[in-house]
Amino acid sequence: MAKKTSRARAKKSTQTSSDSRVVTPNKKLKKNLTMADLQNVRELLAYRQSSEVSSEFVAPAGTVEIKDLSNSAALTRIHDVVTDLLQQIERTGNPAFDIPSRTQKNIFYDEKQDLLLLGNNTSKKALLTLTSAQDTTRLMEVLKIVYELLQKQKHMTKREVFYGNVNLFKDQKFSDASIEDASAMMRTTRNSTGIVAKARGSAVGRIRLRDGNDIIDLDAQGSGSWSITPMIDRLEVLESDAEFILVLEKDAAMMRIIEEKWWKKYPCIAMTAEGVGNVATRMFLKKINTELKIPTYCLVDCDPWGHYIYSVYIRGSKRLSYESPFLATPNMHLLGVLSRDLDEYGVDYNARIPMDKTDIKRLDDMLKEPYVQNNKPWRDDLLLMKKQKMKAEIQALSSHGIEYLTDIYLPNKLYSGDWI
Amino acid sequence: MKVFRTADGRIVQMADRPQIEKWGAEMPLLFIGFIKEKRLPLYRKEYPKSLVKAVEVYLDEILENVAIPKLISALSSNDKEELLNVAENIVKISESNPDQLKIALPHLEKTATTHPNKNIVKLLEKALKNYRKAQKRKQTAKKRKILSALRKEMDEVDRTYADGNFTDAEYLIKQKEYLKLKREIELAEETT
Repeated sequence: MAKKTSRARAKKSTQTSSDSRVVTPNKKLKKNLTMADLQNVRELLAYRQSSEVSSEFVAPAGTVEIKDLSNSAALTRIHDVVTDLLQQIERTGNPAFDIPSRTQKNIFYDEKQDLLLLGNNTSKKALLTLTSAQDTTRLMEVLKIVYELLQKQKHMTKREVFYGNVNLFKDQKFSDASIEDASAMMRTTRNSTGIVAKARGSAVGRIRLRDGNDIIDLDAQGSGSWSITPMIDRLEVLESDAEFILVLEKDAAMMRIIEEKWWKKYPCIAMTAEGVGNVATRMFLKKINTELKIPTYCLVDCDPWGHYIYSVYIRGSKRLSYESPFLATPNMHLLGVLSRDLDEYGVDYNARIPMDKTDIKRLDDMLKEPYVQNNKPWRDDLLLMKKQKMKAEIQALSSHGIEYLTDIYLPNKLYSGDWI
Repeated sequence: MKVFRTADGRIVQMADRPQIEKWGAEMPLLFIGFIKEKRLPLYRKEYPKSLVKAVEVYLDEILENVAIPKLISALSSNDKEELLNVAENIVKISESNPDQLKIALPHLEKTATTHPNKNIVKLLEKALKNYRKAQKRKQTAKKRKILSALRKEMDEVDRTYADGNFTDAEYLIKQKEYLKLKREIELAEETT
């Protein structure tokens, strides 16, 4: 009897909790929207198609000018670095590398181009002093590897570089730093050095690419998606009938898109880096955004980390600020999940998570960034997040049903033009 | 990108002529073959006729003014390495996507009979053989489909004959038709 009562109590409690899960959206939401209804997207598409986007980046005064280089031009830069070193040995007997400083103080936000850029300050790393001998030896080793890669027209991952000489590099963070120093010193992108990051991102949708003599159809990937190659320089866009690009923070959201074959109804290219955009994913995004000139949207978690991921896509990261012009997509819009969406789309209270101290600190840091302060709608949404002190993941939307993200949330956001 | 638009704001973009002109000799043919075989049938379902027509005109123009001249020039090149490279790539295409060679067929056939370099002739003949084999396989598959339908029909014919509703002569005609097609398929499969 006691058992029966406890079971009945448990049943009642589940019902109560399941009832409390239902949150009515503040916004009047439309069902069965088609691409023809998404006029806001089509207007933006028409605007992007008509606007002249210069692919040539002009470095503002006081910043390092980085260029994407051909193999032969990159080899010439290594020759120049080595020649300079030899001349220093002859002249002073105390050679040193002159490397653009990548410290916080030397990173600038260029308001005009809406990018984080590296300033002109450099730091000297002497070959013959105890403090920097190890760093410069590592740098020489990286330059040697880059030289070989360029000569043979091959690529290598950062991990391979590290494992090529574990005793010298000790930890991958040191080999990674030397790789970044080498490309900053050569005033070129890391892609031009042949050293690539491992493949992490994936993409799917209405685009056909060329990789050598192979044609890759991102619309024919079965129940999976195409793994974005780190060798972006080998890729070319052949054909696409996409009307927008959707960048997703989470693989789970990508799975929803794939399972629904969402791009068939809403012609798009969907992609994810499963977290912060890695170099290959950001380069791929920049490439298709620039070449296709179609609107680009980002869907991240409703938390400061999600907003940070968006900021890395649009302005670049501070660590790789010297490469920002080649990695950033400044015209990308933040589609969601915005703080106001939690009520407007009725995100279940059980799926909202109170923000902890680390979240609040990250949020405050974001609010201090000049690119946030200059963007009122973005700042307002972050301030609302601070007021609500609540965060939610993209998956929180599925409290209304598995298809809520693809059938209701995304179409309504695009229909109403509710993006930042 | 070459952009094709519809009145309601939809869009199809593809590699433009300056981009295609930078490619190697075989890639433009691969590209045109891919769009014609794989994309145009889908465009016909999704987009207005005017867009499909514009794409077809564009592809024909690229074929005539870029792809074919590029292939002819590569196949008559004095650079033996380039020549061999192009021929090897054509063989690769014939193995993976034989249908995409259809466009270049007359030029490949002509070059295979007139080219002075025996290695090139050998490679092109291999590519043509692969193409023909693939076509034959396609035809056999089609016939197999017809045979399977005919087999079902024959079951019905057998029943009708057993019920006495078909004469011997009528039954023989039907049976002969079926056996003839079956043998045709068997022979085709023996040769491919």
